[in-house]
Amino acid sequence: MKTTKRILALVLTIVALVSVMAVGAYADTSDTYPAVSVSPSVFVRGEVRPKDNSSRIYYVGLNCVDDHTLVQARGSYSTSSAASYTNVTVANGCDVLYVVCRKGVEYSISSEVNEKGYTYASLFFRRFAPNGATAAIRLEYKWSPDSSGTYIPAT
Amino acid sequence: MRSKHTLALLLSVLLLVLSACTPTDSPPKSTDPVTPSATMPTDTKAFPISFKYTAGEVSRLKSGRLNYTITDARLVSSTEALANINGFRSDASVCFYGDSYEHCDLTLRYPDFILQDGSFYEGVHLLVLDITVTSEDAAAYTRRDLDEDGYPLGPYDDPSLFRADGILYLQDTHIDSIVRTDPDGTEYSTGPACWVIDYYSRMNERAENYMVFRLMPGESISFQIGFLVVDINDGGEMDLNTLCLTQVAGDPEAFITHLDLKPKEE
Repeated sequence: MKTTKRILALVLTIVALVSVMAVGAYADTSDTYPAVSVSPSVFVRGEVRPKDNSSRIYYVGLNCVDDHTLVQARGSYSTSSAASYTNVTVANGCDVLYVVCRKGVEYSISSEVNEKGYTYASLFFRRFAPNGATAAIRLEYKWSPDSSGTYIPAT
Repeated sequence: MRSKHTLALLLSVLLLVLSACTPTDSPPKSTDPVTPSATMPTDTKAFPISFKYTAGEVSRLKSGRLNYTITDARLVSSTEALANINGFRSDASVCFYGDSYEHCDLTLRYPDFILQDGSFYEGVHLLVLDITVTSEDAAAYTRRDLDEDGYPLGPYDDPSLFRADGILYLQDTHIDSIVRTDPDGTEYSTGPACWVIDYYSRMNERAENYMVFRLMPGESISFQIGFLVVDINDGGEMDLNTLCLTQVAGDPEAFITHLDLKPKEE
């Protein structure tokens, strides 16, 4: 009985330790402040950063002539421009093509970056140009791939 | 007998947890070609190099101007050359590629690319820029500044706070953007190959944010910013011969200078 208890304690300790490692020892929630040239015709990649857990992506658009921007969350296995980036944006529990974000508003963007095994997350942007604008514009934004706060869910 | 059953059950649980942590298989190789960029200028300016941020329609400045001067740029491969050895972003990382850019053969997250003696892992360099900033009555938008719909225009409350990671971007002009099409027909572009800073010598000096500095009108401040670099010949993606600095990723009008870099012995 004593032996069984000792083995149980040891195994549970190992399980706990491995679980912590699996969640992500880094889980960096610090934000960065990139700028990107946003096109009305294709989604353009922003900064690529490691994604360490399944928390939602934090995003707020700043300094842009457009009030709204189409935003995607994509996952990849590297930061290279030659890598593939897969759209894994989620809204209201469903896979979506994009979410619409208003500048000045802090959002939580749901994604399956971590759930689908990707190691990096990036946001892709396209102009929301209902008046048929064709020029690319500058967008500055603040974001972190992992977050601990609660913000407006992006839809 | 019961203890044997219990042991078997516990070992099964352990194996189940370990199998869940097994990394997924690597994706197939990318066959898309990488073509040189032809849009960014290629001229190399001599230091010191000056540029500015001015209040305008699309600017983080509400009024005034920030005057920046880059006094030097160099590659370093040791923490001995840094003003603050704790100035790295906690998610700073380098990637070494093998036969495909789809995945990293080796990823080193901070601080793992720094060896015990302070030198960097072979092939890893930090491009360090010495920066001096002077405020010409510069004031940033704050959270109290609202747009016509009542949304804040700035991220902080203090108009004298400015971000160190919004000054310059490192771009590699030998890497052009690639446009791909998703299965559903959506097009996406990887855009210009640009990077945000990995190092800021005054990191965590301010409580408002780890990456800001405070500058009152008429004042000056100096610091270092840095970008992690692994040359293509060492397994990285960047080409040290085609790196440039820009205020906006991929915008020829925001181009600052091409960089003439060679690793220097410390």
